[in-house]
Amino acid sequence: MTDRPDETAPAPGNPGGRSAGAVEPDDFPSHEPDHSSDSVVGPLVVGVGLVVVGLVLLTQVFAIDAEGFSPEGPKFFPLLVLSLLTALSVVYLLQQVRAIARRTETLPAEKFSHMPAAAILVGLLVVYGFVLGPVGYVLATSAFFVAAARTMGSRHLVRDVVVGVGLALLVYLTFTRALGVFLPQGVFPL
Amino acid sequence: MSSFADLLGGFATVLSPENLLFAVIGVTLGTLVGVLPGIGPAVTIALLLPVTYGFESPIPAFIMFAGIYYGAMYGGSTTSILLNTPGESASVATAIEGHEMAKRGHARAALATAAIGSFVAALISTALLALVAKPIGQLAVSFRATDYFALMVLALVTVTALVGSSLVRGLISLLLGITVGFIGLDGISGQPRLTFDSPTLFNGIDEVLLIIGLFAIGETLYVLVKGRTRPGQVTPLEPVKGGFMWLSRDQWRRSWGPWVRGAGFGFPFGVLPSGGAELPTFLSYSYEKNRSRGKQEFGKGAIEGVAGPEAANNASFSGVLVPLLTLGLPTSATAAVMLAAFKIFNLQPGPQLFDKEPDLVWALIASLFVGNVMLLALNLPLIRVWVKVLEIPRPVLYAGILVFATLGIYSVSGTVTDVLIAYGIGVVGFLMRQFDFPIAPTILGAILGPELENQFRRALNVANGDLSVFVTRPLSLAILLLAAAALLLPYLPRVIARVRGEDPEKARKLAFADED
Repeated sequence: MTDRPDETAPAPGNPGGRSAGAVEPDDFPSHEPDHSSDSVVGPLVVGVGLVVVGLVLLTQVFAIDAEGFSPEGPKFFPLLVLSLLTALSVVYLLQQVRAIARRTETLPAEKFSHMPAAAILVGLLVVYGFVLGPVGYVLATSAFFVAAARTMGSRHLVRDVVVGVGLALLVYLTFTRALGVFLPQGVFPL
Repeated sequence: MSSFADLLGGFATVLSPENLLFAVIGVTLGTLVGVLPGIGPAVTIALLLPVTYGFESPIPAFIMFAGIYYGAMYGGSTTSILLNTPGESASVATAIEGHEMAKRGHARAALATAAIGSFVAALISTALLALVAKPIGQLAVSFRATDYFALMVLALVTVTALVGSSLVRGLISLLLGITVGFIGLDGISGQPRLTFDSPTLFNGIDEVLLIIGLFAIGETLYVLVKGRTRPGQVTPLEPVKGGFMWLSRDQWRRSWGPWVRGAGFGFPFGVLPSGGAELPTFLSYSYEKNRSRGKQEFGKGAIEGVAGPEAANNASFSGVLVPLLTLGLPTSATAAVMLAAFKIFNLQPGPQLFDKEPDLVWALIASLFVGNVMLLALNLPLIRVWVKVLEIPRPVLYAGILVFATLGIYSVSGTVTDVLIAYGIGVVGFLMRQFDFPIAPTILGAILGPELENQFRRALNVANGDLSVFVTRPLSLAILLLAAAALLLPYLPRVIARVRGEDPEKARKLAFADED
């Protein structure tokens, strides 16, 4: 793992996201990365989504098979929590609506850049989850590792394969032999 | 003096070869994950929970977990100083002054004052923990269900109010967490709740899935979308200049005051439900900035600004253990994960723990001393190793994290469904980060939620369903009023500004960082 000219090169922009020089002397630095998105739609979608989730779960509370809403019963506390959740979701939604209407600062929403890569990564994870059992731990993990590293921008195929296969074998052997945790053996008899 | 005898017994347990081995594993792993940005102690412990299923005794597991936690703190300061990317949120203050010191060629001094300060603070605060834990435990014996309910509300509300920048979003996070805790069969009536009639959900959603999904998978997606898949520039270490343990005489003189004061800030704020280490590190930083002899150097690399916050950071962990061990009350995400670990071993932290499991408790406390000695020995001499860890290419690192996350989930359940649920939770965790919803309240809510409801219903059972039971007992009422005050506290600067006739928009809400 010695050849990695591209990763050690200084990244464009500010890789850490923060620069100590920019910290105001009188201000404790905010740990937040910059919320430099102009998206006003994002929080609206999130708000609507939260309200819908709250309402759907509330119907599930009413579906609990118990009589009445006596405070010590199984329905009262979820009702309390989910009513509050739904109410606060409405508040969140209204905050964003009001901010848009008054043209003040809208709720924080970070930029959705690199979304294709993120979507591919989620897809890889799902495939990995499904093939883990039938294909076996070592093979599935090695392949997933290489693919995931490549999706995240690695261009050192040989290194990734070596690390991936090594990691998969190491984990498989330690977990199945030393720790007694079951992992699927799959097509390779090990 | 009986606490002292108990503590000696604890040392006897820890100093056995097997337990020492687990302490070494814990502190090494902890330092490793502390150094790596993106995974904190909470995830590491969550990933290791499945490993401990095979353990016969909980003692080695908890010795390892304590080592991980403290190790993560030491490792986090290394990253802050050399990379200016805080490895964990409580290291933000260290990142400012420490990185400036490193840029001016004082990296070794900054690393040393952080490590030795962490060590000193850990010794002080662990001694305090050993002193106060048992008396508080005895006090807690008289607590009733209403008191426990009120205490849990207080813990959840304060963490939510202090973490993140918006109370509405914090509370939504918290309530989402509590809601996750409802899923499955109700413990008292046996009714399925929020399961959508799907038997796969009858057992509820395992805490391990939630923690790994929200932290490990959510964080990886977030990092990818932010485009932070390259490591930053590591500030090179200067050659050793002499001095005792890399600190000159003057640096020793300037460091010890902040160390002790930092420990003084850290421990009490750790004991109080105040969201872990962020508040005391912030207080220590601003105290040293305004009071210490080196205040004119602040912003340009003042050693006090590293020494104080690092000490406060470490001291707060021993403090967090006080409510966790004596009341079963976690006040940070990592403490919540440790509570989940107690549940795996069928242990209920609380007043009875000191009577039922004295070996475990005192071994845990003794292991904090031992672990810190190890960390001091491990941290500075091996600094070049940790620098190498910082240079691991990010794609390899995050692909590895995903492999371990999947492994952690798969070894809990062995079903694809659970793996997919955790990935789904990971996407939710990613969205929460994108829209600035704090993660810690969700974890706390999910882990503490079921117990919160239990105490609520137990109290009401005794009172025949009379809701006034929570306000008629003075202790419960007082705690609940404190919780209400905690909700308003973050808005205090704005309120004061308004009273003084200044522009309230200028005074921002007191806010601290998230996660561990």
